[in-house]
Amino acid sequence: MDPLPEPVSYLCGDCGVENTLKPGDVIQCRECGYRILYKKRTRRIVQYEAR
Amino acid sequence: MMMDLEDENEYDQQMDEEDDDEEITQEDAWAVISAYFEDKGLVRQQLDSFDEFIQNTMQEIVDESADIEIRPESQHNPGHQSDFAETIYKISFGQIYLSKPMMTESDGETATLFPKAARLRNLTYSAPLYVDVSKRVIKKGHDGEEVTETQDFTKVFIGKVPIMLRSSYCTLFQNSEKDLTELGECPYDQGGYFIINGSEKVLIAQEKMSTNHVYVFKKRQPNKYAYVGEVRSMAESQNRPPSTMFVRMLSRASAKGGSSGQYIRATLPYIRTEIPIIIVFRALGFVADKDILEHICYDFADTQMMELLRPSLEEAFVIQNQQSRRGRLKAFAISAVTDAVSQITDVVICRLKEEASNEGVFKIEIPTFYFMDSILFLATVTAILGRNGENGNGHQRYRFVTAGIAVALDYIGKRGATVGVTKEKRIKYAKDILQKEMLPHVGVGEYCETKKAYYFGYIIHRLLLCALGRRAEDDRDHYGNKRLDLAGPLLGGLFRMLFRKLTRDVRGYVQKCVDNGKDVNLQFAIKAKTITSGLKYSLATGNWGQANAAGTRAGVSQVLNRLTYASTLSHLRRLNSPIGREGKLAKPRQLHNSQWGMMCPAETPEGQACGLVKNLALMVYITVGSAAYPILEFLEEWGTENFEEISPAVIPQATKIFVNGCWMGIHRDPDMLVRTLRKLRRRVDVNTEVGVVRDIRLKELRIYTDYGRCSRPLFIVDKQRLLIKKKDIHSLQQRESPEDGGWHDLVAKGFIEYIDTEEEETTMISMTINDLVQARLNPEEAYSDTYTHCEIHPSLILGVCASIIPFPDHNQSPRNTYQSAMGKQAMGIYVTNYQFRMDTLAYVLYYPQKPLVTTRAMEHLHFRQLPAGINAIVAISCYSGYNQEDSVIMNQSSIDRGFFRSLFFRSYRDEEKKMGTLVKEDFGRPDRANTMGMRHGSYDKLDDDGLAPPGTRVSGEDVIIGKTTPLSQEEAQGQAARYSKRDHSISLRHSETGIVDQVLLTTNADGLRFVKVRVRSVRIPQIGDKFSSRHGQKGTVGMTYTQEDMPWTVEGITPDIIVNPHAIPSRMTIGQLIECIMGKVAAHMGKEGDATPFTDVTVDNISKALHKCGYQMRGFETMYNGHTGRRLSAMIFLGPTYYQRLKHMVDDKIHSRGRGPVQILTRQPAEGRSRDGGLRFGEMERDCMIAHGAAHFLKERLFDQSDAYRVHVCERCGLIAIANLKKNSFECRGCKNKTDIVQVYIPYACKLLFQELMAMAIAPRMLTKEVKAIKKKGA
Repeated sequence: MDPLPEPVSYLCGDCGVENTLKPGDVIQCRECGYRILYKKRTRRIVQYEAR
Repeated sequence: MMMDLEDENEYDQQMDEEDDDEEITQEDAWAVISAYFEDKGLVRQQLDSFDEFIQNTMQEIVDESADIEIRPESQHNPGHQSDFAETIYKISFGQIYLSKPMMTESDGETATLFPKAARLRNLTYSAPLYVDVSKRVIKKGHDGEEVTETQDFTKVFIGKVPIMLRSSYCTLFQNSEKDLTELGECPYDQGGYFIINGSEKVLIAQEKMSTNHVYVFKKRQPNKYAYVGEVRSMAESQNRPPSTMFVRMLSRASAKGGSSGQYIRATLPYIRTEIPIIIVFRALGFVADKDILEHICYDFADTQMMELLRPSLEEAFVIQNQQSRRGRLKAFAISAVTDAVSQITDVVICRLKEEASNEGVFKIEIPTFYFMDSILFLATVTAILGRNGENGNGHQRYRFVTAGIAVALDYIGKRGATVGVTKEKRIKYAKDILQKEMLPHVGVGEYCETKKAYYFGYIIHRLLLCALGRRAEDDRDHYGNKRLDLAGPLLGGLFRMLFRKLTRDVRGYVQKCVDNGKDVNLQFAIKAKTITSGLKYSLATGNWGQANAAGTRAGVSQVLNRLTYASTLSHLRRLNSPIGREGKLAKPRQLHNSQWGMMCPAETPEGQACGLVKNLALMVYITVGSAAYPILEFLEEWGTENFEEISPAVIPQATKIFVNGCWMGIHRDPDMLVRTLRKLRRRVDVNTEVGVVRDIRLKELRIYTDYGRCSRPLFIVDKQRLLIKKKDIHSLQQRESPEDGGWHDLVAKGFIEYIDTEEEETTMISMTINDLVQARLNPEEAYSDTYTHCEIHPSLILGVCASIIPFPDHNQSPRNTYQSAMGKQAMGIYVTNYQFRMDTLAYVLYYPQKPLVTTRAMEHLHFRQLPAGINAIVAISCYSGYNQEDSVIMNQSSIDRGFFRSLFFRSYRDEEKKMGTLVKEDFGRPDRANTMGMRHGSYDKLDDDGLAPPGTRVSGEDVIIGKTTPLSQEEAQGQAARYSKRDHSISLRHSETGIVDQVLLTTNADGLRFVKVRVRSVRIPQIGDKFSSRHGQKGTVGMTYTQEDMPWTVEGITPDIIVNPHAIPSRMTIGQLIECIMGKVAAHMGKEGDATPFTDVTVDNISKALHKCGYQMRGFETMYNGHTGRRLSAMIFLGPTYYQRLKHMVDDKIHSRGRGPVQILTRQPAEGRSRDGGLRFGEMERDCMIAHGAAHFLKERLFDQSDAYRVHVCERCGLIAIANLKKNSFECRGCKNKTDIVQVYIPYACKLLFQELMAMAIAPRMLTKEVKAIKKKGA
């Protein structure tokens, strides 16, 4: 029923490699095994207040 | 003539020598100070204390309770005969091993843990602890043979110990600055804290009274007692609360019977009543009065003291007599003897009274009198025993002594917890108390009686000295009498308790196995969780001691303050006195003379904890404790005589030697002994932290090696000259690497030594190096000709926060206290790695500047590297009136250019909790179609993983972490069937906006998915934000003017901040004015100004320098009004002043509410801004309205705008009736009444009360008519 959630990409906190995780995946970098991942920056348009 | 010439030659020679090793100047002292901080850093006390715990204390604790022996309890097991008569299990713990901090993932992978990962993943930075265990099974055969099986287990895991950052077991220990940066650590971070579940915890040092120390206090009359001697005795390495002993002297008036009265009695542990001191002595085995007196007043010629002991002797004699009468002596004989004795005593007393006027005789007669009663007693007993047919004088004497001891012991035993036991048991009980409970620090073994008697006598001696006015009473607040429990001892106590619990559990398990005849498996017996979670619990909650057990201290561990770098440092050097906050007693809160150089005189909170929470001064060292045996060995070698070698009569001539409060013996040449000891300490042959106190008046030498004493380094002075010379400073400055030479060398070479608070009382310290020079040049006018030490620099008496204040010596002292509190709220850069951290709250200033006007201490506090403020151009002036009452006018144009802009970070965190085995929460974007209870905020900003990506602008109640829980079957049934999940998302705080800065996804200690989201916002100064100078002058922005509206000087300079001149006169913060003119000079010369306190910078000097720069010398400038262009009639004081932005900002405070959320229970408005709560109309506001007569307004506030509620009431019974407004039917079931129902408006809280009363079978009736009318109806 749910539209299947798309995989989301993360950056490894140690080596910086891009990891794509599906729901339920183990949170670990595929390259270096580091367990802290950071979300990538939004791809939407961002608007800043330049005051 | 010849003599003179020779003298001159000598003098010349001396002069030549002086050129070689020139005296140092006060400036050179800073090289020494730099060496100190280079070597020690700022949190040495924490690190040293923890290292001591890890390296020594832990093993000692394990050794203490290392062996467990288990014997099988006899089981009823008919028809089964064991092969052995008895099997004994012995389990002993040996060597411990601690690894580096580790983390075991949920998938079983083990890796070293770094602090950064621990902080980010909410882990605990702890290292596994292993211990060697050996199990011995001794099987005793029926015929006495023994078989021993030994099994060794090496490195058995017994728990995880949290590791202090930067301590010797930390992964960061001795890492270079570069390595630290690569590990994501701030190189300026000092460590000294723990990471427990991701939060940084500091152990606050706890102040306590020192143990094993005799205190004598005078009681304020009227009181039952005149003087009280007190010893809180605690044996070393014994984890028991100290056993307190009191020795009290009664007041003259309170004595019953009007006899001489001033009895001295002692309180023994576990004994209900006070025991006369003589009885205690007899119980210790000293029966003859002469022996006893020898132990108390040493010198029989001291008639005054002997006289004070007389009532006690008399009292004891009576007791001895009564006891004997009840005992073995025949009644007739004893009565005759006592009669005789009392007659003789009377005669003697009469004679004494006569002779009292005749002093000469008095002095000679007294001592003989004192032995009279014991001689008589001896004679009596001998006579009676003789009559019973005993022979041999020695034997009789022996019988007499043992009888005396027994009587005394029995007397004590009767007053203990022994009811209805035999005399033998009582005596045994009393003996045990004397041996094990009384003064345990003297000894708890057998044959300690002599030592104990001497110590007990010493307590009485001190009491008598005080009673005779020869010595003042002790000072409870003297810092020499205080000890500090730091991380090491605190953890030690906890670890000891937990390890004992562990061994107890092991014993229980093994016992069970043995009794059930099962095999003993040690792996199962040792529960590592005991220590792991026990240590974690206390560190996480701050409750020191076991969970939900009595006697725990709260607030020992606190979350490290990370507002600004200085606040972090200050927090790591904080200390707390757990004396009741409620106590009105002001004394413990006051600054004591002995705190000079140890505690910061300015930095303390205001209000309840004022003076109880303190901060360490910059150069304090807290001793970690060293072994006493090298000292004891030294004393032995250098001719200390112990009690076995001496007779008490020599004590008055010699000096008593105490080590850690324990009387070791006497020495006849203390001068030599002290000199040698000091010499050895200065050569580091004896530990430098050992305290040597020679009390010449009391003839005592007290040596301390214990932990928790405050001490500080001082220059050593000999013959009015510092031992450290210019060449030493040169070599210090020219050394290549910080490792060689440095602080340790200065100490080892004997230029500097550590002096603790008690030893400080025996020194003569010159304040400055200049004082010494003056004393040499001008001996007549010198304050002292016997200086022993010299301060390194007087400004080091200040703590971390007070060291940031420029010219604190020109401020009124409370202003420095205020600034010390405000400096902790200033924004700056709190650590250099703030971008890698996910703190719940963080403030970072945009363009922090190092101050133009600095202090020397700032260098070591890294204030230049991590500053917390901006050099603002400040004018002190009235301008338009928008800076009244501590508000300031700020330049809007400066703000637009980035003046005091700051960042604000807030982190949110969440985890996918497991509920049961199968059900688990899920991060994801909730769907309105199948999710129950969704927030009204926007879910649009979430990605498919339920997290808002960085860069997203979020505001109001936008959801940033989407999370759902599956609905359970029962729950779903009641609801509409379409729901399968419940929303548990986290949304942004409703009053905040920002941009998602960083989103972190990881797993935590339980292997659960764990996220942290950091939201950033820029804060631009605006009206209402709070700022302050460094002199306790805080103010909020009252108005912002653009540059063109600001006043200007001839040079066209407009101020950034205008403060009102009224802020100055009453507050007397002259330091701020001096800072301003010095800042002006510094800015013009392109240099830093030195505002260190207690230097010889004067306002005149600065003014002259300013004048040279071409300004009005006192900092005034002619200015022109920005609105009108006219010249201001007054000259304006203007210059750069360092200002701080404080964390209190209007945007975080602004709050208003019309209607809004209410509490569920009372339906009154919720409380607090975060819940969109109402503003409380409190009691005092209520009082005003009543006084004003505004009754209707009052009703509106308290009722209509709060919890108005309508109920239907039966007019007949007055109770709440059933009302169905839809059907328009009303009914009171009790009265069968459907017509007489009225509507009543009452507060919901009132309705609640009525219902609660009804639940208690009380009927609150609301009567709407006159009572009479109802009663009539009822009747």
